[in-house]
Amino acid sequence: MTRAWRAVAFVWGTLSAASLAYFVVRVPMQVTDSLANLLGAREQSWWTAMAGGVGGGYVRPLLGGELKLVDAFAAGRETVVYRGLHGFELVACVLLFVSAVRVRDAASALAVPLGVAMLLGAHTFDGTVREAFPINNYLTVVVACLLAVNLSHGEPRRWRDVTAVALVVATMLTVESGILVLVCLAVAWLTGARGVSRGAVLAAGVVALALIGGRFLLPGGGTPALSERPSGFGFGRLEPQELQARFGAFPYFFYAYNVVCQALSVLFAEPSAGTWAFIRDLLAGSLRPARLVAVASATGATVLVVWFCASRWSVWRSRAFEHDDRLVLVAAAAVAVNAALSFPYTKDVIMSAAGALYALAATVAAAALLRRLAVARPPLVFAVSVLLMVLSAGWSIRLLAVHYRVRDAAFVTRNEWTELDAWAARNRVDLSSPTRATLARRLRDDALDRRVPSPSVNEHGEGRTLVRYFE
Amino acid sequence: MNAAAPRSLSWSAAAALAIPLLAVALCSARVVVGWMAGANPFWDGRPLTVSEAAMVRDHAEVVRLIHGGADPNRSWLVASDFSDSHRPETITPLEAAVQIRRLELVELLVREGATVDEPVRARLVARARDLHADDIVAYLNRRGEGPR
Repeated sequence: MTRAWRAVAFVWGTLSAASLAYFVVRVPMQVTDSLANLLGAREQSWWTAMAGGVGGGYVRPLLGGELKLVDAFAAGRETVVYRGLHGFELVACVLLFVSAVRVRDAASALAVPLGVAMLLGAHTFDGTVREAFPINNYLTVVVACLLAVNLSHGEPRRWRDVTAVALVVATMLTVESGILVLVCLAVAWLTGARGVSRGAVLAAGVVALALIGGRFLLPGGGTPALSERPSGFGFGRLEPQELQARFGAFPYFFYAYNVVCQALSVLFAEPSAGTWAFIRDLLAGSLRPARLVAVASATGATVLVVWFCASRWSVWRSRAFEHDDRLVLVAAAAVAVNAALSFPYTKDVIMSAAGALYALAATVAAAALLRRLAVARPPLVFAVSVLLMVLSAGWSIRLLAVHYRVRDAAFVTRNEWTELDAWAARNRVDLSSPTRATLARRLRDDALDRRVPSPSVNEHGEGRTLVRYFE
Repeated sequence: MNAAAPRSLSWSAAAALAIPLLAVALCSARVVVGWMAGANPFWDGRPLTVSEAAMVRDHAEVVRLIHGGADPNRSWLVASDFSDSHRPETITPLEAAVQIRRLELVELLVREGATVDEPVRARLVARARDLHADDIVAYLNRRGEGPR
């Protein structure tokens, strides 16, 4: 029977992933964020492409390296290759998620749909599917973290050790949040998972320390400056100059604010990107249903996880951990570390890996609740069932909403190609050479040929009401 | 709890959890099955005229249609659900762009070959003034002989 439930869970995961992937692969390549990177990957040497990711507070050599590698297969069919890769990563992400749950009974199988909705519908996941550069490195880190969780929970094998260390190195050299892969491996090992050996975890830790140390030794290394990008603060958003003026002399309060906000954002969907928009709109009487649904559903998931922790606390004190416990503790550590990594500025997608692991924690918590209710009194079962239905409805809306927002992104992205020349002039991107002009024209024509109905078509009549729940 | 708890579960709670998600799953199944069958569920809208594309701010479709041979200077039908009057209208793409007060769309149409001669300009300026689209009035005046 366990096999049947496991199959049900994987079928559900595949269906959900394929459904969203359908929308993701239909998003045209971006002009902004993608075209300049593509031109760079095509024209630069391997060395230049990788060295370009090092400096100015960043050590991301593999960012350019991965782009160069994929571009070797993409010449002449960029949209198919890059959008296909995005869709593939999305499906891999969901299947690794379902695998990490380790479905073993009806309760865990029936909790998977809620978990997948939490994974894909979370606001922190939004940025992993709506855009690409043209590879979405945040999604890569989410996949890597889920792979690390799966590696940790299995029979000890040498290949798991080698893969785990390689995974830590590759993701850390791609984007800073890659260190979350190490967090997953370390917390899983500390709580008794032995799929990856102690030696491999230590080796990965030493490599990670070396990479972090190297970052501070590089010219211009350390932390990104306040003047680099805008960030949410309070009820609004501060531009780099305002950030510099307000916090330039003593940025530590701002850093602490960012860390707390990012952690709360995963737990409660408020604040979002450092801005307390829910409270602001509530006070102003202009709260959109979508924001209410987001905050209520995220808070419901957190209540589930807190209940699970409380119910397991006495067992944890005796240092006895089971698979579900490990997932919850890995998620807790990931939220804390991911939030700490976000100290320079706030952005929802930065927390995508923590959000995905938190969805995993909420999934096993929901399964545990279903099991516990089997022996509860009927009035309690009824009351909790009503709450579960509300929670499930909230996440269902958020799951539908992400499909809508991806389609909206496709519409906006396609329209941006009509301003190609203006964009090139504004960003000083020279498109005069024949090879550059050919690539830009091919991508533009491809985008224009991908018909995306305007979201405005849906905003008439009943569609307008629906949209208020989606964005 | 995991090992000690019974493997059974509360089916009523499970049903409560599953019902809303099943509704979403049906939508997902329709997308995936339609996709595999070669259809484009939830995606392909009805064919638009250039003026309709302008009315719904679909810049890319405007360009695609013009590059495909549609004349940006003639009047095209706008279906009732796209028009502000909720009745079918026949207007030029430039009139549609002014109607929705989108300067960037006016500029795009001009770049793509829409002609703003004096009678057209005067008519568009008058309509833009009625709609308080000052940026469009300023743009059209710059293209003409001076403010009127």
